[in-house]
Amino acid sequence: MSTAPRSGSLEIRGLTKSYDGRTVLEDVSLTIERGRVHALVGENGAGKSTLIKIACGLVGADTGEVSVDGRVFPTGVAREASAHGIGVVHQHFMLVEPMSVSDNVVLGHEPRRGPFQWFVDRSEARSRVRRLSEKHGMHVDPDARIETLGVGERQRVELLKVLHRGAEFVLLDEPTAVLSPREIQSLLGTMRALAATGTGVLFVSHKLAEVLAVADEITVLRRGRRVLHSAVADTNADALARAVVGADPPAPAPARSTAIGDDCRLELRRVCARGLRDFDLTLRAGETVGVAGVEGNGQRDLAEVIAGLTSCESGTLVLDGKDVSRWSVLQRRDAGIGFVPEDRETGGLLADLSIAENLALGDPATAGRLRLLSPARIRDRASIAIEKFGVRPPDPWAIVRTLSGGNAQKVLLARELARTLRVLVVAQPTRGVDISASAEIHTALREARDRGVAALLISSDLDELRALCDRVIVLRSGQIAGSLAASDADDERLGPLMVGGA
Amino acid sequence: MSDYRVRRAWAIATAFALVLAFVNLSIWLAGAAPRVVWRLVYEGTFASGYGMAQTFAKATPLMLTGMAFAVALRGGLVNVGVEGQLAAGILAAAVVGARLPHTWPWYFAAPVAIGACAVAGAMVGGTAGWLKGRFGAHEVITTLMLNGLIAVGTTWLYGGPLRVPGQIHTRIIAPGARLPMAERWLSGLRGSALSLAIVLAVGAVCTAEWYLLRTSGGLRLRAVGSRPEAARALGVEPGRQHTRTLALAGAIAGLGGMHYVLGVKGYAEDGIGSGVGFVGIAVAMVGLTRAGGILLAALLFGLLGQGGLAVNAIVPADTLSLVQAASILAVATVAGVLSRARGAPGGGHA
Amino acid sequence: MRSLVIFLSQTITASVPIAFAALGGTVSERAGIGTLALEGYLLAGAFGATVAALATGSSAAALALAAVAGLVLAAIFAWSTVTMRANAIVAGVAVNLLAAVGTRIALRVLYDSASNSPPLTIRAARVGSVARVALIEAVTQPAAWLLPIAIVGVHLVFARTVFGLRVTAAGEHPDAVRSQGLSVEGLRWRAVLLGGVLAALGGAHLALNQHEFVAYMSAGRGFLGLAAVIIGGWRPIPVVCAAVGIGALSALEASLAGRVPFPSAVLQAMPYAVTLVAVVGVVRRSRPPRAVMNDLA
Repeated sequence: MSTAPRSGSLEIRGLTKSYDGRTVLEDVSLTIERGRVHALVGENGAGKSTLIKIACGLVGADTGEVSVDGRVFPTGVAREASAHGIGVVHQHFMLVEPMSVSDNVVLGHEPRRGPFQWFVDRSEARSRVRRLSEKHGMHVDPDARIETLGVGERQRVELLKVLHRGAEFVLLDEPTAVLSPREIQSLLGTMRALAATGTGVLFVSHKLAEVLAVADEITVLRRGRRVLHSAVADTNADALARAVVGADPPAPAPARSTAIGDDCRLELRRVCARGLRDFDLTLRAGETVGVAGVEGNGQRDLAEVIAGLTSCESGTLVLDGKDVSRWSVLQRRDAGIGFVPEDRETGGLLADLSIAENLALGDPATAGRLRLLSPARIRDRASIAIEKFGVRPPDPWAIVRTLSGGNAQKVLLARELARTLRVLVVAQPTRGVDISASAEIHTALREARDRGVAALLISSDLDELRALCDRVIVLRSGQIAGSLAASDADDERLGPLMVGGA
Repeated sequence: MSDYRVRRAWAIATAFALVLAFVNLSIWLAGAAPRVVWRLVYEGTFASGYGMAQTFAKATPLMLTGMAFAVALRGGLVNVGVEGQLAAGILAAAVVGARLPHTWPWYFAAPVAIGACAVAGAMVGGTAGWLKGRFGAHEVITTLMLNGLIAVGTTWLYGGPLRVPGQIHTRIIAPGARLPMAERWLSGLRGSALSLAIVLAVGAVCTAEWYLLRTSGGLRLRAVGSRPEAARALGVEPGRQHTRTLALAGAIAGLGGMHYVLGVKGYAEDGIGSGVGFVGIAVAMVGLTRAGGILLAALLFGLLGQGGLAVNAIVPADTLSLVQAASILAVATVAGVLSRARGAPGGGHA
Repeated sequence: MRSLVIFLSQTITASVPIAFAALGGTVSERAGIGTLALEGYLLAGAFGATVAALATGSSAAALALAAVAGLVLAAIFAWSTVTMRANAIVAGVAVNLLAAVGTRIALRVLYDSASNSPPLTIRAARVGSVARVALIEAVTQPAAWLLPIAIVGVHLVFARTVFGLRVTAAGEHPDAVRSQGLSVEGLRWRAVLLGGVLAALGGAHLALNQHEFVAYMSAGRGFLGLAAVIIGGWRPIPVVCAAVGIGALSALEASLAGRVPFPSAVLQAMPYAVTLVAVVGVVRRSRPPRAVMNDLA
């Protein structure tokens, strides 16, 4: 790579893309110049991910063109995009777990040796990885196996992959969604360093603060259209927020209409389970407690120990005054514990069955005992839920696999909220869900709260936590690092709690 | 629901068409004229009472092993052990049937014998299911090993301890346990292997389908077949469900003993029912794992089997097995293409 | 001593086909394609070897034709599972049936027999007592000494080569491979074909050792090979060790038959029973390539 930054750019012009009649991108144009950081901003569902997929060739555009330094190449062909120096770090990493860092980085472009160049030159691969990581200030052990690495390190490996391929334009799709505040700062620094070496960087995010901190220019997408393009110096957070949402920033969350009850619904007393250590927590009727924290610090263990999927090694779990520590999942569901797992595709819904059947199994009586199912009855029950939650298409027999993310999530929520709950544990309720569905889900959660359900809301979306919860606890290494009232739970206070010290 | 059902019906029809296409292809490859061959097939099957009866008789065990495989598949398990489960059912029918007091009337003897078939098959299947649930042992290997064990065991038993001196088969079962042969009512069916077993078999298949679709037990089975983790979060323990699923599948396969031992033969011998298990897998695939399709597919394969005998002079019987094999492949391929078009990752049988 | 020699030669005889099948299965499964088709490959290889041996009398030709037969069958399997995305288990069952019946039909067409081919004569060493002849013959059989070469080869492929790295990645995380611009389908095709050839060589050994082709002669060895793959944790060398262990158990029946107080059926059942226990016991520790898990479950 030459030392002086080359001029020239990655140009996207007039991109349009529709899926099943739904227009996801409409006439979007964007230019990423070498040596500059360009931020792409927008809400969930605005079209950012689709744009990235087209730019890197995973998906073809209906109209429009992509070109590098004036050379146009066909969309939808991954080979073309990567041959023109475009590299992407996706939200979902594509790393081979049991293989080492250097094997993952060089996969596909391995340095070779030996007769017929059949063998992998592993020492060369290792030194390449070392050189690249030093050059860009990202530290990673080439021999470490991916399965031992944390999220931030894995992201670094993805970045190294892209750089090893000689990418001159690096596109990062929501890279900060899974990082702790300190890792985010580190990544932002890396991005600036990359730009300084002459690489063009496209940084996709919906967090305005980060964007303003690191980018040179910003493009805002709303509902598939470009609504703003400006140099960072010429704009500010308010203008951006308005462009993103399309109106004045959303009204603050409606104040509670009901009060938190006195009675203690759920108590965890010195619970030790998998990642949790001596965990104490109390939930009152009608209270919503948010759980923040870097992924992998015990959130899943907390959710599963309450739901009964993980057993308590020691300590007690008390529901409405009863010790339920040894109760089975079914008994807990029967007693009024509801659970919306974070992974709706594999852990939440039964994808190959219909909406009606999914809802039917939500009833612990059906899941636990042998009984006859009357199609008319489960259909009618399903229709009620479908209407209440606005699930589309409104067909009780629709197979869940065919539903969009937002509608599937609604079915999952409907399943839990369909019975009288005492406690609801819900994880990442709006992950991968578009804005309007998210709003409906939030409304449903508030209604449950007003009915007296004690809720534990685990989310990596700090805004969501602030909007829905009464107080927020932060998990770190399986313990509560701190607890804040929702009104006090801003990023400056949450960050250090999530990471520790700082 | 109707749209899905329509599509599934079309898919089954396509599968059937593929099988027939292969039959024609193999006829042509054997150097014969399809028209002549089909004529002979018709004469050997539908044209005569005996032919019809034999067709249905051959279909009887096939629909059971087919349903056994399908039930397990819808529960997320690949039950290649249907062969062994059928063999266990046959063994149980022979042993229990022979031990029953000869004075017992049919309403005591027959249910006991039939129950023994199902229980034996269930025990074999359930063992594999338990191993999967408790230890995570893959059911493909465990059921295959069980097949091998049962094959060795039955060969030894039929040739040794259970043998009637001077014969190569086991003791004849009690008359009360014998199922009436069709020829008792329709003399035109004389000599055929058709018995009441087919009625019972169809009943069993339909009952199983009803169980899967209309009871919570069947729903739980399919839930685990779809997403075991999600089922667990709903309170359905996948491990225990696997045991139940394979026990059910084994029971259905074991009922095949009704046809061979309680029906046509009255005893068991080495080699009885061999291969029927694996052909049952073909039946399940061509029938797209649904009872209706399976019943039709079993009939189709029974037709091919009986017709194959009729045309043996022109087209060797082995060609038929070739057809069966090619059919499975073709249907599996088509299923793969279909599910790919729908965007599903290889599963979606539930 | 004599019985030990018999036992050794029987073990080798029994292990080689299972080991080859297991190696073939390992390669295919590491790429992410579960393989139940090993029985079919064994039969195809056995038949191919028989035809060539009868036609030319040369063991080299026998091995070559066996490899070709395995290649052809594997190509059918690969087309169905890799290109057309059929369920690998069901396709495997189908391929096994195809091979079983196909070889029987070919048997009838070529040699006019329903069950056996004419006996093969391959030059055998004529040294010392009968027992030693059997052992030496088992060892000097070309397919037998090809086995160590194959083991080393497969091990090297996975441990050191670019192809092995990519194939392993394809079996664990096909998207990762695709995103690097590589063709997962191409890698899997090559792996399946290689697997078919390896397993077919095992079939060649089977036929050459028995000096004839008998219908359905694979007799479950393919499934035992698959069990060896699982017990060996999808790593070439442990897999072959498992295969040899299973082979030794099969050899028990041949060498102990008639000299034990219980029926020989018990000995016949040993490989299945012990393998069953081994597969169950080993499950905790090993995990199949992710892509295979998703396909099977």
